[in-house]
Amino acid sequence: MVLLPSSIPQSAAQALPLLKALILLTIAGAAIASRLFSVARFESIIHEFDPWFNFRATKYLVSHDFYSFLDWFDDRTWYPLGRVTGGTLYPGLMVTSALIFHTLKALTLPVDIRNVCVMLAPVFSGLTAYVTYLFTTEMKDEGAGLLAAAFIGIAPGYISRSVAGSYDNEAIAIFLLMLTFYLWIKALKLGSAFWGALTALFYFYMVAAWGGYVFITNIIPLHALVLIIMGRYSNRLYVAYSSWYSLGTLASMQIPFVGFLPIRSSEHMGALGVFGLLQLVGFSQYIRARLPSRQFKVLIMVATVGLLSLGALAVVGLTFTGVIAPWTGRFYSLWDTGYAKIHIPIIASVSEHQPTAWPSFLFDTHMLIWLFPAGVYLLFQKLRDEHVFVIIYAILGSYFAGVMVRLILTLTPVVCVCGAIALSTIFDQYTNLATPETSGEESRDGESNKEESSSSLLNISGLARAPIVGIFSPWSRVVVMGSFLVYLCMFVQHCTWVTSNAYSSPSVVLASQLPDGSTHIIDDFREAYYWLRKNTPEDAKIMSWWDYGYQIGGMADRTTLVDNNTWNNTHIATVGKAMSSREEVSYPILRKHDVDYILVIFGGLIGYSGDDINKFLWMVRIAEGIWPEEVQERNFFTPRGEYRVDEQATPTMRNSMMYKMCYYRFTELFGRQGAVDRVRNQRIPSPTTDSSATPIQLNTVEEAFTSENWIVRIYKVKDLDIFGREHAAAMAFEEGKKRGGRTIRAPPSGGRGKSKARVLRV
Amino acid sequence: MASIIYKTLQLYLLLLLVVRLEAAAFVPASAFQIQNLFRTVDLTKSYLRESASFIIENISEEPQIEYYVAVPSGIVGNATDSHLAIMEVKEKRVDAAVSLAVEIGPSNADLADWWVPSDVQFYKVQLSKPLAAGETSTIQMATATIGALEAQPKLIKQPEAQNLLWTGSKLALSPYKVARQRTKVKLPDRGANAYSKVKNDPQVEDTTLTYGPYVDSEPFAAETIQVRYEYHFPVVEVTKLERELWVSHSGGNLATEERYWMTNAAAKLSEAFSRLRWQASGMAGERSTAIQGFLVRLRPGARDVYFTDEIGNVSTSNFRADIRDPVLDFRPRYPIFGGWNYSFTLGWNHDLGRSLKVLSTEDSGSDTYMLRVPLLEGPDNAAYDVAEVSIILPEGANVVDIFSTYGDYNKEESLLKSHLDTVGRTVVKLTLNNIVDEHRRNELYITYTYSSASSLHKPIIVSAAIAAIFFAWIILGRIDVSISK
Repeated sequence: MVLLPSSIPQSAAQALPLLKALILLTIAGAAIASRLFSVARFESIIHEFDPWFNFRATKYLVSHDFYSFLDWFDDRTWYPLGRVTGGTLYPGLMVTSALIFHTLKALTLPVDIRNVCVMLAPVFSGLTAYVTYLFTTEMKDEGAGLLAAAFIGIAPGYISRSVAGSYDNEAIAIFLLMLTFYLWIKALKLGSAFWGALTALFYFYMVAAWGGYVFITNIIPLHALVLIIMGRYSNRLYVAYSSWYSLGTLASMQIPFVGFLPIRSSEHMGALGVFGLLQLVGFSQYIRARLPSRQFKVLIMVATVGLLSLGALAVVGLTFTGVIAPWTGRFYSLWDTGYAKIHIPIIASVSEHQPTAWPSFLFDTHMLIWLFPAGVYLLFQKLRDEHVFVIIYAILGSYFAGVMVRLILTLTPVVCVCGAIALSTIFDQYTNLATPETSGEESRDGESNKEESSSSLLNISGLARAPIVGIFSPWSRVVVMGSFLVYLCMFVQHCTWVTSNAYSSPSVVLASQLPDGSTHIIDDFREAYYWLRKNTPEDAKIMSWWDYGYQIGGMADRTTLVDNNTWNNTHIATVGKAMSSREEVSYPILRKHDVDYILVIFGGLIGYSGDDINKFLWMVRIAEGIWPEEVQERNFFTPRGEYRVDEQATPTMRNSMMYKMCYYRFTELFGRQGAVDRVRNQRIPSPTTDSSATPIQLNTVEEAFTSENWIVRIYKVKDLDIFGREHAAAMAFEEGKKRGGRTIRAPPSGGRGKSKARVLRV
Repeated sequence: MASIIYKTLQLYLLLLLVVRLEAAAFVPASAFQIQNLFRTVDLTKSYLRESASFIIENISEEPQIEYYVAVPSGIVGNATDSHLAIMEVKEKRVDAAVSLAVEIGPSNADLADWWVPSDVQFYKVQLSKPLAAGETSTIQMATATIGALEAQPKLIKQPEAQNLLWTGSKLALSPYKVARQRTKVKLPDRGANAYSKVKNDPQVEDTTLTYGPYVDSEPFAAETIQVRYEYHFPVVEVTKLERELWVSHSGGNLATEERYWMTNAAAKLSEAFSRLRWQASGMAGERSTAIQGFLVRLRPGARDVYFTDEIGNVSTSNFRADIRDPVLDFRPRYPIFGGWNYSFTLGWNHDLGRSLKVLSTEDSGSDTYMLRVPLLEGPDNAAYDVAEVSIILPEGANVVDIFSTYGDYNKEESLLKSHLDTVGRTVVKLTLNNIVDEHRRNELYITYTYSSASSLHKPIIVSAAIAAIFFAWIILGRIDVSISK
């Protein structure tokens, strides 16, 4: 190990593996522990949105067998279309949890599948730390490896996706990514088909686990291509790449969701092309050994031009005839950040798909972000084959992280690796006490002998030789080492702070501070979902905006119209239209889709800003994409271009289903001081304070449940009127009857006490 | 009003029909006469409680040991909506009241003497000692019936008061002649708002109605009366309870976990639930039929309390960890109105020492223990349709005996493998039907043998398994599988 002086005694050297194991265990422990904030603060609960689907799918897998899981057609989502769930998910995550669950069950350990799912991400991040150690060790040495492991263990960029309860594909995917990379480097270094096959095996696991596998599918061929261009073709590269590509591609095609994509989609063509190129290069190397060089040159020229143009023509031709699928929209949005906003509003409506603001880099990686270029520079200095890989990874990772916030996740490992390499180089330089003498002796080896006698004399007097300055002086050592130790401490402090404050909220449960400083839990989501689960028919259809689809499926266990899978834009637009139109327009839509209940999220009472009114414009935009005549975004803005919900709100806004359902009877909560929406800080027109305001009336739906803080409001869709009237007419008739009846009817007898007792004749 | 009259008429017709029916074998010997009967119909709880205290006189020539009591047959068994939960008979002796053995008497099929109505179920009571001719004894009888009180009207508006209707007889159902009897109806604090009037009866006091006295009523005489009263409390009905008690000798722990499936049998809401009105009535301090929560008093020393449901921790609930009087303040996520459902899990730990007693130790290492636990814990004023009480003994324990002060249960024994078990632990499951919160005073005694050798069983197996894995690792690591050197 580099951090220790080189002259360590024998017994200490023997203890090193033990010490290393201990350090790695401690790192893994720290990685797991720092991800448990949310469990300690709240409870063992699945977080956010997508994890609820994964959790539900895992429960399905645990209670059914594997093949019925792959054949799973889910008729409880996307009603009435359903979803071919088994064929449209990456089963890796669920299979992993199910395997762990069944293993524990076989050991007769009573464990809840929920706890397996909650703890999966922290445990795998511990493994990621170990794999990063192996990977970085291949790049530099074990010292850098240990540093990289410590960095990846607590870097917020990775923690953001792997806290306990964040049960998403990324939880295991980063581990698999790093493991596949490590195995690839190993295979490349050794030129071993065995390691290549292992790379393919874990590549297969990665394909099964996360759509981000395309990153590996492209970065390994790119690495191979760059090596060939640099003239570093070798039999090792040939063996490693060929074994990985052929086995890995065949294996990846076994995943139903991937299927024939590896030979049909543009994203996979690069890997195929490089595979072909490698064969050609290999063949040409074989020919070169057997042909005179002039003939060989001509042959190479003709063959290269001919084959390249042929290959390019074939790819273009196949793309046009439709055999190879063209680039998908999601892929375009990686190149043009404005693309999604214009063409695919659903992708743009997700906050994690926005381009990254630069402070997020510092927020997610802290000091590593400025060590990162230094590390890349140091790699350029040596530029071994494996260093080229990290450089390519660093370039691609940086680009993608700049395009989408969520892709900081894929950048973080390489930032940790490069940062560790840079930092470990600094430590190497500044902790090695022997450095000045040895480096001095090596550089002027010839002169040293002559000078030796005199210098030793002069050394005694201490005058002739200049005092040690620059990086070799003890003071500069102390300053540099000291400041980096301070940076490291700040790094740990920053990571813990970010993890604790930014990434440890389950978002299903909200925490608020009471005036006396104690924490109050706002649990409205679960309150409403549990009400749905227990008090509605099992086949009730719930309409809500797609954000809540997975949560309703997971917690309320009811059928939804749309969910976070967002595979059918038209269906989502239908929901958007039903939400943004007038009641008379929405009701037929609701009837046609058998909707029993509508669920809206309303934060106006307690100031929860992630509510449906704030998301409303996306519903309007998505609906407008399909029905530009019926739903128009500009009608929801005031003439001055403001988005308002108070008395200046446009008639379209005020008559929309969403507005009505959110503010229905909201003003009655407030007295004379008037109703204020605390998210938008606007005054809602209230009949008690403003005589011109009319109370919101709902004709086609009725309130079924509202949670304690009014965050979740559920409405029941009325049946058709039994007399065949319009709902508005029926309501008006009922109202009139009630109002008329009130004058005739005697005041209701309270029936209190015996004095009012009536006598029953028997 | 009309419906009540109609119903009463129906009852009469039924009674008349029944009276004319086929004759049968069984008739309780008319050996007794009841001298003075005082009956109380208690309507203050969410289920019906009736008690009667009376003096029986042996009017036959021989000493008698068997005595019969009768209840309407509709409340026995699971065929109908209302179920008999408690049937207790005591005999008052000079020093104390003695509980008498009660067994379900001849079934309906056996009786059909021309004067015995077929909608009657008999219970045979063994007196504590034979009653000589002409002698008297004082008997106390108590019953509780689930589901006998119905909401009227069945639907109410959200802040409205709920009315319950009790339909019964002004005379106690008795297979013997009753010389003199009275019936008192005890009501909750706001009294009755409608009741049957029969001649001068009843005498009305604050919260009680008294019918009688009536003299010389014939066996099985009945006259239907109805009382309607305000009831501002929920009608808690636990449709199923799974209660598990885990005994761990190595941890010295007794873990309890209870899973409830609960519904509120109170009047349903006629309109949809309005949070606005609910918050307004909450601020006005109005009482409601919605279940807002309940207190579960745990035995002293309860710790590690948790309250969850199918989607996690019920964050609205609290636990007051007082060492002497620990109270679990359970509040469901939402108020449970009439007809609404809820399910949840409660759990806590106790030191095993408090409930376990060593009966005998033997040199062979096999000790005999007795575990004493309450049959039931849980909320007040609740009725249970089915309760399954399971006791999970440590691995290697053998059940010697089970005894409960509540006698009427089905017992099952099975094996369960958990926590790295190899043999499996004995599970004793008792299934109880139709019980009420008053059964909490019953206790359960389990006697079992457990040897110190079986407590070492698991550590040995686990260490052996781990040792085997390491050995396998070492051996496999030394095998060279490479094809070429």
